[in-house]
Amino acid sequence: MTASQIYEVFLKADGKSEFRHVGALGAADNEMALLLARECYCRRAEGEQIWVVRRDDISSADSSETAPNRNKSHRHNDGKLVAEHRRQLREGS
Amino acid sequence: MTLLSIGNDAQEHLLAFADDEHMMGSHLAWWIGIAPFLEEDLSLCSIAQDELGHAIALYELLVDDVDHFALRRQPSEYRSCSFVEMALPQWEDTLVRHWLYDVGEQIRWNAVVDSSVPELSSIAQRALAEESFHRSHSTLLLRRSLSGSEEARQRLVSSMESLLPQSMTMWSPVAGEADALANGVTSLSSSDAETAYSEAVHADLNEWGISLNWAPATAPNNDRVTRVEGFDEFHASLNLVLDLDPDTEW
Repeated sequence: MTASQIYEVFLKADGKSEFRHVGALGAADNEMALLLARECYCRRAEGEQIWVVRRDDISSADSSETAPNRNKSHRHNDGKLVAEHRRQLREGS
Repeated sequence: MTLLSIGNDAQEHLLAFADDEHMMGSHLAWWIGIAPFLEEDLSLCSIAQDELGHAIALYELLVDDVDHFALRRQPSEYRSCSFVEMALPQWEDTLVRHWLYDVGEQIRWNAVVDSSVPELSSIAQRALAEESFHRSHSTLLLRRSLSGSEEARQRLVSSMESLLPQSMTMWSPVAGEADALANGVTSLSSSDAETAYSEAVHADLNEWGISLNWAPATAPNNDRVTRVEGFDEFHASLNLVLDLDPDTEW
């Protein structure tokens, strides 16, 4: 038997909502992972569709790659500066 | 809602199925919190709830007070077969019984899906939708476990040799079977169901490369009236909370 692997589980609710991560589980293969995901995460019909992804197949970035993007307040624009700029242009001042 | 329109004998036939579902669901639920790994803990108990749901649906066709009927009868009044009454504290035995029972259960539901009792037909349609997942669960898990270590395979095959004869008690003729067949309540006699069951089990065994010496059933308690050893303790455990205050309204 294949050793148990970790799978990440995603559910998509009815309608236009996106797939959302709901947890993880251990399973021997994709088929078992889907079956167990159905019982462990969807037994109350929490989702309409299920994705399972082997954790080893996920490419990931850690904080060393995301840290340089901290403290960039200019990327948190709330629109006020742009709105003021447009107002001034509109009024010709 | 009770179905007084079907004869007493046919009701006895349904009762045997309902009690089998009840016992099977209760024994599977025993594993909650102690199954070998969390995913199976949840999955097996989810399946147990399905089986108990089937039992409730069938009891509702027969009596008004389901809880009292399901739990407070005298042991001699149950009609379950010995296969589902046995306590099986070994995981491999539980897995093998899960597989064998669900092979049989699917045949039993198919036999009533076109029943002359519309309510029964409706219950069967819903149950069959659930059973396809139960079957997938047991066969996938067994197939993978059998391809594991030599010890795992040996323990599972040994369990099959022990439980397969016991499983034939599912097909011991039930009182009222002739009436149930004549009235169209069910479309399959126990002997025809037994044949279908044997073929389905053999198909799985062939796929897994297992050859068993399958002798005819010699199980001692196969009359659905005599209970297996240990039933009283199990029955008492089902009533543990109710016995604390029998007059409580739930």
